[in-house]
Amino acid sequence: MPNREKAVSHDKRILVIIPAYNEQHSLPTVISKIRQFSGIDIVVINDGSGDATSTVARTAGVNVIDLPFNLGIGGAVQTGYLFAYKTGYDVAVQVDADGQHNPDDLLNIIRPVLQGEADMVVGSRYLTTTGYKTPWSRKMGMVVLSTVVSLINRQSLKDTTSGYRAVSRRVIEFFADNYPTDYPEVEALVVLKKNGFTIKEIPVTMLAREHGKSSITPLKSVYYMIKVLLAIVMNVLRNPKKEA
Amino acid sequence: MKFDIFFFAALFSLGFMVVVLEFVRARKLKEQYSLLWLLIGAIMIVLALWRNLLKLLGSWLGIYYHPSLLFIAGILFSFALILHYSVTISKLHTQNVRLAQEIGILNKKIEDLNNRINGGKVSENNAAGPV
Repeated sequence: MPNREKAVSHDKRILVIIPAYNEQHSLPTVISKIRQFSGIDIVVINDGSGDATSTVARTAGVNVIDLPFNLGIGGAVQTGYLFAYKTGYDVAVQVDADGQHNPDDLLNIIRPVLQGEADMVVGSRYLTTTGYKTPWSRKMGMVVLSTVVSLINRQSLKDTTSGYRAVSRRVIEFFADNYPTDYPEVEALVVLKKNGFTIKEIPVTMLAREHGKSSITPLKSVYYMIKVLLAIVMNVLRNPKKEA
Repeated sequence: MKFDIFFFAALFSLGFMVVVLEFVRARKLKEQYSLLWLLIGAIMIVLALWRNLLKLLGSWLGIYYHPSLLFIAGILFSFALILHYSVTISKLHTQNVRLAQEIGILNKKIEDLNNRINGGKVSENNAAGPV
């Protein structure tokens, strides 16, 4: 049963977006952990999974959107923002389906958006020592991205690849029309700042993944770095979309 | 008129243009995508038949075997056309993603409406399985 004491907000509608591709094992735990908070709706974007992801989510009783084929993380997350926009949510939160994002941090991520402190709040693994260990090659890539994004945005951002983030209604509206594809997290930070939105980073703890492996291979991470850096440079060269 | 490589190049280009026009007539090729092909065909015919032009261009560019200018022109045009297609594919990709997203959301709305009206009894399952 939802705990009324933990009600997040009484007047604002909050939606948790969980993009899921073949996550039938970890999804039920993630959903049940988020459900301990009342006043938060959940939508699972089933990104053309070949397993029982959709059934598992439906059994759990949350909103499920089945994409007709695999769009990748950018397209899946944007589906969530489009849904949030069309159904009138005030705050949207992205949470990974693999169980690495700790639901205990959920309220901390949402609060600054609810209170109007920032348009986007990013849950960061690196702001404080949270005991999250990464291989050095990956760490170096993260440092490069963090440095580049911090320079462009003129604001220190440590964990640019974190997919644990909450956004305001204005950003939901913006993302419904403009969201990067492929590896969207880093690019989204640059695009948002460029269009006049404010970003805040708060420390979170990451859990070890419960099932499955990371999809990042050495070759993919090289492609990742090149693609993301190119996208960032292009964004710097581009004009802002519109009055945000 | 000699039946040499220039003649056949012109003949081929002419046949090519006829095929392109036929595709447009039969609505297998959209007008906007046919224009570049027709332009290539026309320029190839001009280059093949107007030998002095080919010679002149060749000597300007320092190409001593003039027919190779035809090849170069053909290859460069092909590159331009392929790039044009990459741009078109990117645009189609963006539209395709948006369509899939809208379909997903629409299916959810239909399901919700169905649940409200029929109490969950679904006569027709509209949700698409993964491809």
